[in-house]
Amino acid sequence: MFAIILANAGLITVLLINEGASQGELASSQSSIFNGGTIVFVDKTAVADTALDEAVSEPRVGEVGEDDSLSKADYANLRMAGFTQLVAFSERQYRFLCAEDDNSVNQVETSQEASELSLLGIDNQALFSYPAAGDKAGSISNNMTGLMSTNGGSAQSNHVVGAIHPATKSKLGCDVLFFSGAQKRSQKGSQKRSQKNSQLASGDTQDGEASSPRASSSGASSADILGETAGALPPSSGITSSSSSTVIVQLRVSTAVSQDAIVVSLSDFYRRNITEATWPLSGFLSLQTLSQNEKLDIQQRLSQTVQFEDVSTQQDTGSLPDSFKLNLWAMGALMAVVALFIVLNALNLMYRTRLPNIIRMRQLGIRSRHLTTALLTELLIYCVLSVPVGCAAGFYAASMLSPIISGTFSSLFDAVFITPDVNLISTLALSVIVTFLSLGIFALIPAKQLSTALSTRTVKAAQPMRKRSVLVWTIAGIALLAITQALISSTLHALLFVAILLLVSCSLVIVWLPILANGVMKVTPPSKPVLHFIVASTAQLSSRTRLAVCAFFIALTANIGMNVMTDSFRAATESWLTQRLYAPAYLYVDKALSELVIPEGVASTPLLRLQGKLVAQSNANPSGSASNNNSSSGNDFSSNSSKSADATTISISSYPTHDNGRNALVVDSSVPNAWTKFESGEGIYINQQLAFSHDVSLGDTLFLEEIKAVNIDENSNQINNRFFNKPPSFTVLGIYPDYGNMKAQLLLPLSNFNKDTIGDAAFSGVLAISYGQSTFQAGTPETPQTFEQKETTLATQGNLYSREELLTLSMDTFDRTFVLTDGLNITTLLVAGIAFAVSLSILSLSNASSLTVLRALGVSKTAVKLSLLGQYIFLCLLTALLAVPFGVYLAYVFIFKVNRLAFSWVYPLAVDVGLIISSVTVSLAIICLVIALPLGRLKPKVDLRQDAPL
Amino acid sequence: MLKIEKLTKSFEGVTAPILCDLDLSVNNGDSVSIQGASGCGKSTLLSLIAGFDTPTSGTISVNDYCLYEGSESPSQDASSNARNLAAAEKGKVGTETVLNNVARNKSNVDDFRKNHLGIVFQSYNLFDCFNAWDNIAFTARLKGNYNPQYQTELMEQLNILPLAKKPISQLSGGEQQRCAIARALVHKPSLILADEPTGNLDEATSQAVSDILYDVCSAMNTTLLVVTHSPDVAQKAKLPLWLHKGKLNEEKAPIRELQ
Repeated sequence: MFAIILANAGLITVLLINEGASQGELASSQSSIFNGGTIVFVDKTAVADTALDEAVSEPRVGEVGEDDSLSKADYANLRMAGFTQLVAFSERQYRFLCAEDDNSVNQVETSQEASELSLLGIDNQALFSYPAAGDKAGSISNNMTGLMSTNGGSAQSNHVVGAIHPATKSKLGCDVLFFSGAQKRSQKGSQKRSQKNSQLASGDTQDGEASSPRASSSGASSADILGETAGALPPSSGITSSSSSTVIVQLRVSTAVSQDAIVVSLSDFYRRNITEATWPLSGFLSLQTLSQNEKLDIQQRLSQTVQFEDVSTQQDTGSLPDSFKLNLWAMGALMAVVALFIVLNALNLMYRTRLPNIIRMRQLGIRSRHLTTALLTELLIYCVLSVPVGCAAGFYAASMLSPIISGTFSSLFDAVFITPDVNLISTLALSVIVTFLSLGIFALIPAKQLSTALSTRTVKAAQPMRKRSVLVWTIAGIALLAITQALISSTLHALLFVAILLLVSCSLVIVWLPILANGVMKVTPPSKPVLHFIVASTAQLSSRTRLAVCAFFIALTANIGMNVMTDSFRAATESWLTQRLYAPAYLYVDKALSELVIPEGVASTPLLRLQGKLVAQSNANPSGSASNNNSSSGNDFSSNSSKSADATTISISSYPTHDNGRNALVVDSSVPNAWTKFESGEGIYINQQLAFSHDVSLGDTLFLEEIKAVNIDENSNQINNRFFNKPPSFTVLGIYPDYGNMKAQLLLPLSNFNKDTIGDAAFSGVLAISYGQSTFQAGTPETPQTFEQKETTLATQGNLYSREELLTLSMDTFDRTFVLTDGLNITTLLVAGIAFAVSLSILSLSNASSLTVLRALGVSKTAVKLSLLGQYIFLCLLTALLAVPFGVYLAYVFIFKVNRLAFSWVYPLAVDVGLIISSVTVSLAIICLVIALPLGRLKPKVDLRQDAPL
Repeated sequence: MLKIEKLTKSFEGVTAPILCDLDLSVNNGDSVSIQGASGCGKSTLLSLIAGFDTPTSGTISVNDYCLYEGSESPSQDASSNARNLAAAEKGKVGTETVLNNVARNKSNVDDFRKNHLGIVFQSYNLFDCFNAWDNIAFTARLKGNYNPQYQTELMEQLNILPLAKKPISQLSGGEQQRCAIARALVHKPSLILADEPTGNLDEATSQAVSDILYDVCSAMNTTLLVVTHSPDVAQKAKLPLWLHKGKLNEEKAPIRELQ
């Protein structure tokens, strides 16, 4: 019964943790109210300031009392002009303190540490009245329902309703906040931070959308790493609340809010002495990305100079979250399977325990039907009792673990873990289904056995299969795997194949474990009788612990498989990033390329990005020349060799052709002299995603239409020359890995782009910086500066990251993303391990007479205990021995099937023996820990009249 | 030589001791059978001699190995324990040495059982995981005097050599009991305790098995103590005894008293 409770508790715990992490990760990557971009007032004088001055100066956005700041009148004019997607906002920094409830505000200890957050007032009427269907605004307004309950509130009341990001709320750990008095005005602080981190998260490196930290996340720590803070705020020594000036904020959770802000209605923002006169609007949020024409129109309608901050790249969520979600899903499914085996095993053990009495009753004439009914009724009662207890234990365990996991996530990995909002019925239903499915499967066994069995001999554990049968079984299993593997053609197929792989491997373990144990027994020296007994006993035990072994085997195989996969992914990503990030530093900016000021002696290589639609592709044709297929107009693909393709949007990125670029380009495969041809514009490199998703091979030619720059809407079919010096060739010269990028992408030589006209339109906002000659001159060289001055000059224009910083951030993001899967993996392994140990303990009870005989023959008590422990460990080792090849195979399937079909990328399978040994060691340590406790209390009492085992 | 002096064993909650000042002396190579009513303490006596249990008082020694020499007081003297350990390290304990509560020194008793004792259980208690050969060889391997040739001869004598490679589960009751006897003899112990060795066997097999047991022990100069309900088996012993009211007698108690 304990095992059933354990299985259910484990399942529920894993599901809840799973859900918490999934929702947390999702929440951190979901639409924010800044996603459509912002319009803020620009103080022109600030640009002229020196870098140092700018770093310490008060931001000028929304300066109090400035006449030319944005006003409600400007807002009204714009909305009347049809810009209904604009929502006015004003922002201010405050220190917030937690309160248990409204009444306890005055009792808060002054030692409590305050949290610095932005109070963001938005025009909620405009937000909610915006047509929501089918766009981001819909999700935003849905998430912001908390604000619907208040219509501004009374200016006299000190109660307001505020929306907060769930991760922020989780960190604060309270439902009510209060603040009094502004600490400092902000320079759209949250926007800037989030944008900076979104740039990191989007992985925009010089080579395009190419880095793993695409797993979007809160970026606060990233900003901290880079030394950026919201401002020189005084030490947070607490606030003495004053009831007269205190504002109490009732928190409502919304994922649309950025993580360092609390959003209230604009009318709640402007209260008491805070008025538009004293604190003007900070800017306008755009609920939809503004086109270039719209931006120009808005600028013309405003008398002030405004800056458009397009942060739509934040939504380049990338695929690590997808990979992460798939991992979580897989872990949940895995735990369900493990739970199924555990319950099945528990039922089997219960049946075995009752078997002698059942047989005696059969011998006394009771019908098998009655006995089966009685047995199943008893087991049903156990299941009915165990499921709610197990679920309650699981909920309790998850709630106990949540703060720990959340704390660990936020402190170590800057990841989000929130207390999940789960569908109770579906969660419980899964638990019930698993338990009763096990019971249903199990019900077939006793009914069959009891119908014929009248002695224990006939129902004893089945003898191991003969070697020939095992061989046939093994060949059949491997053949089945080979056939089904060949049939994989979609992600669903790949996942089904994983299930088949686990089941087939389980069946092979069942037949091979006794053979393996017997083989070991044969080579064990009989001169060591206790050791010989351990091995022989294990061989015997192996045929009676099949189901428990299966649960443990699946958990261990998955553990090894996931670890190998993650390790391979990590190694591939790190190696790839290390090579790919060739420049000493990278600058992320919001400005146009022409506006950038590049210090003298600093070389900058911009990343230019276009996008086009792949409308067709032609197969590699040795006779075909690139010049014949170099048109991007889409008119040349009507030859027989052409085939139609889905009109998929493809990112076209520039790639430098200097030596550093050449050395940095990692390719999976390429045609001869690929680089030379690439340099001379005779072809392109494509990423794995494009190659896999469209079955593009080396030498194929792509046909693209509707090429346009990322910053303008104009189609290039008519203005092709504006982008390129000469019509580019789209013949595939090589395929390169592009981990973390879900998009199809191709690389064109930077020299192919029209330097004179393309700059601003195609500039992606990223520059590779090195301290040599510029490869693409931007801006005006200035007077000679020191290295520090150069860095400062660059940093004031955007966010400057060193190569090491980017690498560290990327790998941190990677680790953060996968740490939970490791945790879930260990949880599953722990549950399987405990269940395995419980099963072994129960079985060892039936084998207790052997232990007492050992004692009677002169074996010491310690040696007997060690022999028992040895049996367990030996069985675990045998299971691990079988789990290792299947684990590695599973990793292969994950990498080359699941990843390829789900994310269109593959990476080399790196089998680290040390990692596998550590996985197995950890598993064995868990088992030893679990069984060592009851073993310590084992007292093998010697008795002359002990019964022989049944 | 098995020597038991004034052996008393009481159980908690029972006023009368099950064994009361019991004395027994058996020379090497001699055999003793003990009969008695159910519950009279036969198996308790064997358990005490085997060191499975500790007596309330009295002395038990096998050859010069003092298994137990104690008083009524259950207190344990630290210094005596230290002496026991020292004696145990020497591997030999003289009967003249005053040792209290030796039986409490578990390792001593384990060593005694391993090196000097052979036990034949009523329910055989063979290991399911071994075949017949490995079952029999277990005690010799444990003791370190494993001799395949000797084991072969022993098994031939017991007529179980053809069964050597068979799993225990495929042997009949008589075959299993003969294996158990071989296991008890193969490491050449100085004392064999047999608890109802023929209790599960038919008459013919019982006779054959008991004959072998007595003959082999006699040939090996091994002391044999058999607890049995079978008069035929009991009568084959050099010294057939009856256990009644906690004491050993050469005469059977009257039926009225047994009842």
